[in-house]
This record gives sequence, structure tokens and C-alpha cells, in this order.
Amino acid sequence: MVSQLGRVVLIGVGGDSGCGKSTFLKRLSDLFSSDLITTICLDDYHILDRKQRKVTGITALNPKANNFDLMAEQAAALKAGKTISKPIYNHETGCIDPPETIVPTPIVILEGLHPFYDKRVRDLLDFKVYFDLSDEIKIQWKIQRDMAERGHTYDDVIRAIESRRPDFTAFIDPQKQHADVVLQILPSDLPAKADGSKIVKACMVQVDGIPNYEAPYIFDRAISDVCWKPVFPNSDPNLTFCYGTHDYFGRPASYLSIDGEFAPDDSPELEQKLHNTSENRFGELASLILKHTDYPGSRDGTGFFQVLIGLKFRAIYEALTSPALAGTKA
Amino acid sequence: MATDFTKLIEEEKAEAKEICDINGKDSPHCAAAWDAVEEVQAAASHQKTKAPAKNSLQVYCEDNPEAAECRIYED
Repeated sequence: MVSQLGRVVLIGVGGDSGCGKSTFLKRLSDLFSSDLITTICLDDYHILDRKQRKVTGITALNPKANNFDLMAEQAAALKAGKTISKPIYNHETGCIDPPETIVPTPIVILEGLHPFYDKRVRDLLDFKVYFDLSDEIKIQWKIQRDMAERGHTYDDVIRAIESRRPDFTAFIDPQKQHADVVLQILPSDLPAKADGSKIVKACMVQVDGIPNYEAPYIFDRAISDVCWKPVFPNSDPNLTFCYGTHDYFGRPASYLSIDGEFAPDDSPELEQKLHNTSENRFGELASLILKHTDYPGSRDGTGFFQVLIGLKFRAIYEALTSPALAGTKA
Repeated sequence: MATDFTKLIEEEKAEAKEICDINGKDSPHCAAAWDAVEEVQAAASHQKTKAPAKNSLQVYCEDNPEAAECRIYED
């Protein structure tokens, strides 16, 4: 069975916890059959369990708490289509459980805090996505997520973010300069909503020259820094959709941004202005958003770009695997 | 059966506050303790989104897929 695998495509998904990684992974499984996807949570490569980290004062963000040698070795084995025996980090007990057997599928996703930290792992990845959440939105999302828990206060949320910040800045955040696509979640430039919650501006940065990747753009690729303000009856009147080029950590890049909220029903109109979406049929992007309006971010650029990144990854996957398919047919 | 995350989060949080009071809020031990809180909270929220509570019909049909009210023919 393993020998039939022509080529395992490895994708790395990075970012802090609560940044939208798992929603993105759900959107990927809407695109691909779940039989095709194996997801590896990189927390499984923790060397120190929760108790040991607390005793030594080393957070999970710290590379010292993680076994990159084993991660690199097993990522290489998976890419070669080999079965591995992977440790399990148990998030409930905080212990390292006995290993499990992982048989690779055509797509293997490495998701977690450090997918691009180790050069050996980084170089194996066929596509690298990083979720870059700004502090303002991080606080708002964590409040939404954690304040539902009884007794969890605003001060606790801030304290937790502040305590983890030094390690986050030192070890996690710098990885974004190695990513192919970065989804930035920023506070909006638009006026705040009536209830005081912040509107999100999502910005999808795509580095030039990613293999098998044609950058999406609006209107005309040659016209940079162009914005479109559509007027939809049920959406934010200030909704702004932009395209432009800039430098991202010294690498030429282009970006798409959506500032403001829109009714999911308006996503076909937004999609219509986009070129190079890698859709198999027109309307696919919008239909994927409308399929799950219950996912967080379905009303703003967060969900829209998560789906777009998924479509772009599918194009990469098809480009990498189709020669193998042609070979078996011949 | 299922882990009581509310209780677990409370315990981790109480421990974090204690560790931070002893070692100072800029200490690595304080950071590691809050990181543990974050980890448990993330696990709790993932569990919630992964497995929404099943209703009685779903539970019944899992146990009795052959029952008249559970049969689905995909043809």
C-alpha cells in the first residue's frame, strides 16, 4: 500500500494556539477527502511534559522543550512514504503517551508552534503557511474563547499573553519570514463596531517565486496598490478589498487585504474580482465559504483567505502529484 | 469519562498565579505556568469544536444503525 504512494506532499501550518490554525485545517478537509490527509500535531515532539516544563521554567514555545532531531527524521520518513512510530503528547494530562503508528497519506500536514524553526524540517515542506495574529485581535479572540469559561477574567487573559510574550517573540514570531504565505490578522482601519468589538482586517501576504504558485490579484496584476470598495446592502459600507506589492523581510511579495465584514452571501461578488484563484470551477471559493458559515471568520477576510490559501495549496498538490499519475497511466 | 476542563483550567490557573507570586511575573517559571494554562484552554476549545454534543437520536443510531429510523441507503 505504501509503495503506491508516488509522492507525499508536506504542508507546514504555523502560528500560536488560538490563531485560526484548526479552522484552516477544517477548511482544508472540506477541500480534500479526509482519506488523503494526515495531520501531525508538532506538540507530539515535546521532550518535556507539562510538569517538567513548569519545574524547569521552560515553556512549550522554547525550542529546548522540543525534539527537532526526531521531528526532522520523521518528517523525512513521511515524505518518503514510510510508516513512522510517533510519540503522542496528551493535551489533557500533559503527559507524553506511548507512540502510535502513522501511515502516511498523499498529504501530510505538520501543524504547530515550530514547523519552520528547524531548517531540516523547513526544507522538506512543499508549502508553508503562517498565521500572524496581531496583539489586539489576539486579546479579543482569547477573550471570546476563554471568558466563556467560568471565572476567567480579562486580567487573566492579558496576564497569560504577557507572560508568554518573550518566548513568543524570540522563537515563534520570527518563523514567519520563512513562510510562503502569511495570513495577517490585523485590527481594522475602519471605525469600531457599536458593541466596541474590533473589526478585522485580514491581509494575505504571498512571497514571490513559490514553486507551482501563481499569486492571486484583483483587477490587473500590473496595477499595484489598488483598492476596491464594493457596496453591498448587507455588508459593512466601508468594506475595502485591496491588492498591492511590497517587501516582506527582504523578499518581494504581493498582498491581498480585506478590511471590514461582509455577508457570506456577498462572497461570490468578492470572488468575481479575483484572478488566479486556482478554482476548478467558477464559484468554488464562495461555495466553500457558504458551506460552513458557522466557522469563525466566515464574515470577514479571515475565512475568505483561508479558503483561498486552501485552493492555492490544492493547485500545488496537483502540480506535484500529476506527473506521477500520468506515469502510472502510461 | 470526558476530562473536566473547567476544573483543570481552574487548577492550572491557581497554580500559575501562585508560581508567579513566588518567582515574580517576569520569571521563566511564571511564563511556563501560564503556558500550561494556555495549553489546557486550547485543548478545551478544540474538544468543544471537534465533538459537539450528540443528541439522543445520534447516540441511538450509533448503537443501532439497523433500526428503521436510522437506516440510510446511499443509492
